[in-house]
Amino acid sequence: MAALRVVVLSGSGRALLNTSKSVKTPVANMSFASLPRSRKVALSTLGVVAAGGAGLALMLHQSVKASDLELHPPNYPWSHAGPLSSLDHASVRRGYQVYKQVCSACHSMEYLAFRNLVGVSHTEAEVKTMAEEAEVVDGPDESGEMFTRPGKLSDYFPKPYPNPEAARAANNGALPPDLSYIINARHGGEDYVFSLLTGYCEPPAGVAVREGLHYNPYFVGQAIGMSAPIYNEVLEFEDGTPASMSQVAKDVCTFLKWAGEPAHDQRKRMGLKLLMGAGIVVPLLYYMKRHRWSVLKSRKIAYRPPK
Amino acid sequence: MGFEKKMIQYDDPDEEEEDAPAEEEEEEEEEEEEEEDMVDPLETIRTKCGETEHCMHYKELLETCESRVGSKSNTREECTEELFDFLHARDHCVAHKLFHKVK
Ligand code: HEC
Repeated sequence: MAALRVVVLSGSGRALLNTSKSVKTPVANMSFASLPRSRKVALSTLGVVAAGGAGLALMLHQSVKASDLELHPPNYPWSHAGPLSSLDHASVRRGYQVYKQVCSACHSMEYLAFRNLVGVSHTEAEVKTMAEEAEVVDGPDESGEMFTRPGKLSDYFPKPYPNPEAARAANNGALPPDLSYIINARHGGEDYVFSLLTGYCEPPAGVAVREGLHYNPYFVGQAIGMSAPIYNEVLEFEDGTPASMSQVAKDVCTFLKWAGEPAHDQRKRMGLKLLMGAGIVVPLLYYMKRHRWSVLKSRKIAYRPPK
Repeated sequence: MGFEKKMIQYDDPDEEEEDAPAEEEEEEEEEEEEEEDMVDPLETIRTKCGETEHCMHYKELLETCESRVGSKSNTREECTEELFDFLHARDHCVAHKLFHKVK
C-alpha cells in the first residue's frame, strides 16, 4: 500500500492531497427552523405523544410493583456461591439427613434415586443399607400379584403419599410440592428457601391468618400451609454438628441445591478446565494467525504505470 | 438500592468498639448454655442486628403503626409494609454474619 501511495504522490496525484480552503465540511442541521409550519406541529405532537406514552408505561410499571407487597430474601454468602466453589458435601450429607427425618414426611423427591447419593454424600455400602430400609412395591410376580421388596440402589426415593389428592387431604388442602427441583423453581433459589424455613413470625397488627395457615413474610401472600418444619434440635446430626434451626435450614438448602443441580461441581470444574485450556490455546492460535498473515500483511503492491 | 449502601455504613455492630468486650462475654455464655438449652446463633444475630441504628428506625415505624392500628377498633390498615421494611433491613444485616457462626 505504501508503495502505491508513493507512486501516486510522485505523479499528478499530489493535487488530490492539497484540499482547497473553500471545501465545505457538512454540518448537521438539528434545527427545525427551516421546516414548514405543518411539519413542525406534526413533529412536536409526535414528540409529546412518545414522551407521554413512555411516562405512562413507566407509571403503570411502577404501580404494578407497588401493589404486590413482597419481601425479597437477602443474599446469603453460600460456600458454593463463587464461580469456582464446589458444594459443601458434608453439608449435603447432613441435609439429606434433614430431608429424610423431617421433610420426607410430607414432601416427595421423585426425581432422585438412591444411586445419586453414591460418591456425593454417602458411600455405596451406606446407600445400599439406606435403600434396603425402604419398602418398594414391585411386580407383578408369576402369579400376577404385586409384592413389596427392600429397596435397591436404582430405586427412586419413596413418596410420602400415593397421589396429590392424598397429599392435599393430609395437609389441610395444601399440596406439599416435590422438592427435587425446588431451588430452581423459586425466585431467589436457596436464599428464598432458607429465608422461608427460618422466617416464620407473628403476623403484624391488622393481619389475620386463617385457621390452619401460618404467617411467613417470605411466602407469596404470607399465609402458608406448612407449619414451621424445623426448630432447634429437631434432629440430632450423625456427625455431631449442633442442630440449631439455622444450621438445619442451611444444610437442607445445600442438599436441595445439589438435588436441583447434581452436575454443579462438575460444571464448575469443566468451566475451570475450559478456561485453563483456552488460556493456552487462544494465545497459540493468535500467534499462529499473526505468523501466517505476516507474509500477506507485509506485502507491497507497486503500481507501475505503462510507459 | 440506596438504603442498602447506608446499611453498610451504619449497620455493623461488630465495628463498634464499645460492644466488642461485651460480645465476647456473650459468646462464652452461649457456649456454656448450649449444653442445657441450645441458643440458635440466628437469634443472637437477629437481636443484635435489630438494635442497629438503621433497623431501629424501621422498628419505630413498625411500633407506631402497631399502636395506631391497635388503638382503633375498626380499621382496614395493616402493618405488613412496615414489618417488611424492618425485616428487609434486619435480615440483610443477618445474612452477612450468620454463616460465620454455623458450619
Ligand atoms: C407437615 C408437613 C410438612 C413438612 C414436614 C414439611 N413441609 Fe414443606 N410444605 C408443606 C405444605 C403443605 C406445603 C405447601 C404450602 C402452601 O402451598 O401453602 C409446603 C411447601 C413447601 C415449600 C414451597 C414453598 C413455596 O414457595 O411454594 C418448600 C420450599 C418447603 N415446603 C420446604 C420444606 C422443607 C425443606 C422441609 C423440611 C425441613 C419441609 N418443607 C417440611 C408441608 C410440609
